[in-house]
Amino acid sequence: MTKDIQETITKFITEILLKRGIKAEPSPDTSLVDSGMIDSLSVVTFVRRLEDAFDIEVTMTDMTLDNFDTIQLICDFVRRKLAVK
Amino acid sequence: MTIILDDFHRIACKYPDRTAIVHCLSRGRAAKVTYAELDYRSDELAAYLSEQGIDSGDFVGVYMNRSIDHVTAILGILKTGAAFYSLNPRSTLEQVTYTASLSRAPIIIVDDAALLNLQDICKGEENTFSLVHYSSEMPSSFYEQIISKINETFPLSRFSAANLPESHVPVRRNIVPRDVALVLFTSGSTGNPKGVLISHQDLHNRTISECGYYGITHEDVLLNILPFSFDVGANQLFTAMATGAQLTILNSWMPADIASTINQHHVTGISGVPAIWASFLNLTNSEEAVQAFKLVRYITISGGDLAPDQLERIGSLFQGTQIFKTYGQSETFRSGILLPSEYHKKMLSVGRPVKGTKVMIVNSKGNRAAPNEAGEILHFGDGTMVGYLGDVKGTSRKLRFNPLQSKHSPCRQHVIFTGDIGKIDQDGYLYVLGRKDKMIKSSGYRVYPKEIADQILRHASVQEAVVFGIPDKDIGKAIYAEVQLNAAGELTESDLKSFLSDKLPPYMIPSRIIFVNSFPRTPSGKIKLAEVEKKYHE
Repeated sequence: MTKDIQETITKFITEILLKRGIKAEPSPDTSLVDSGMIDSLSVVTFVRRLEDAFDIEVTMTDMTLDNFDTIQLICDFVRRKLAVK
Repeated sequence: MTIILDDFHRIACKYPDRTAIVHCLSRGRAAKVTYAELDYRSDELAAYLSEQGIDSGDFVGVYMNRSIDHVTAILGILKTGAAFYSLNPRSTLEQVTYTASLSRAPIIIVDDAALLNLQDICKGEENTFSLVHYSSEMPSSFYEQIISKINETFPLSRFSAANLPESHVPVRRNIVPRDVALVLFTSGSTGNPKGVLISHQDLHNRTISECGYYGITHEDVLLNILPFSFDVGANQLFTAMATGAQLTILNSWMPADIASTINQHHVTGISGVPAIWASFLNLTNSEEAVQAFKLVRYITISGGDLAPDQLERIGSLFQGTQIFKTYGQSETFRSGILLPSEYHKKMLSVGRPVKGTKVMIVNSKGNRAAPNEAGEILHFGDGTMVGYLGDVKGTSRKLRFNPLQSKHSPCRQHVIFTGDIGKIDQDGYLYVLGRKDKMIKSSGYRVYPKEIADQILRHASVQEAVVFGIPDKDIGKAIYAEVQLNAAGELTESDLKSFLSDKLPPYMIPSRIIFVNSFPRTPSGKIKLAEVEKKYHE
């Protein structure tokens, strides 16, 4: 499951980047939002995909750099959400 | 005549150990730099750029995310006597090469993430610039691979702020106030972006003006969430550099991040755009948000307007916080400002002309409009651009002689034709109705999209809305609306239409309402209308 989570999230991120014409698979600790690679406004759209894929609920207060800046942080966040379900 | 570098130098001498910039990172981490360090680092970069041949009259691009390195790059470029322009890291390769060829920039300074967009760059006839990778940290192995890849096909040199020598001789160029200091590339909803040229003299005036209005001192902590490629974001940076205030950079527009940054860094002032405040209204039930804003001395609503209901809600949410509403364009900087004391009385207006500027309305007959009569908004005085970079024709359309002055007048004034339609009320307050070229002629009526959008936004479930006209063979233009609901909102097209039917005459009810999850936006948060409309053009 742990591997699946990371794979799915990495796939989402590479798809967002590909839409912008960028072919790259960021390493798990690469900053996505702070570096400007991903617009913080588009996190909203990304969150909807996460909710559907993992059947979790993400609130406005969950949407922070702390939870979404790197693939690693997103994985940790999803795991925490799944644990309390 | 002082220029902004004189102000910065004075501050760096007066408050050497004060924190100039804090860059907020995830998990509560932050990078910091003092005024003395920022001065030193930018001197070093200026010396390096001068060695590379950069001099007065040159333009140098900064293609980086907002960071300490970005600010260092801006100051370093100015110190060489050259002018800078900032590009958002989400600018495309095409925009980077277009702006470089327009400005004939010999160098573009880049950071790690910008390199991702430049992976396919090739040296060619049109790409005559070279890249300088500037960083105060060692790039990770992920980025090292990308740097090596680009280096195979394109000139890329590296300059690090991490290992600077102990002593140095600062570069000091003689800068004339009329020299160009920066170029603001407009988002360019149609065609290529235009480069708005701003002089050192004007940059200094607009900075001092803003410091005065907002009462900024060295004790302030300003939250920077707007890009430096946008006039409001760039100006906020210079107000900090001219006063010794701390600029706190946050690369996130997520309301929870903004709230926690305010708390953590004791933010006192925020320059914001409507999209930021609209999303903040969604977080009003959060204790953190309410607590956070008790600390904030002032906020600005710039670069667009909110709907009447949202303005009311912002006013009651941020009680005790001064709210300034401003209006302007890249070409004029700020034309109107609504002061906190006037907010509740005139919140639908954008206030009165900023000190040093004049605003007037010219009606369709070319005469000065009567109070409350609509016409094109003209701006003159401080804030007026020098012109568009390499675009004489465009400049002469936007920057013209004052039409109300005699042709024989000995000192004819230049005015900016804003292309915005507005009116001035009997008390001298300016109201912006919309873009001249976005007015919708539908069934013989003239309709401004904002009039409709304002009503849509009165619905409690709606977060943002955009209204536009789509060619229709029967009625001229059919009115369409794209609507984004807020987090908890649920609404159907017919519900919303019946809600509007109480508020608008039938010819103003959109014929189609489309619900969307998000809007395409410019880096300064404006909705890209051309992109929205394109979907419906057949």
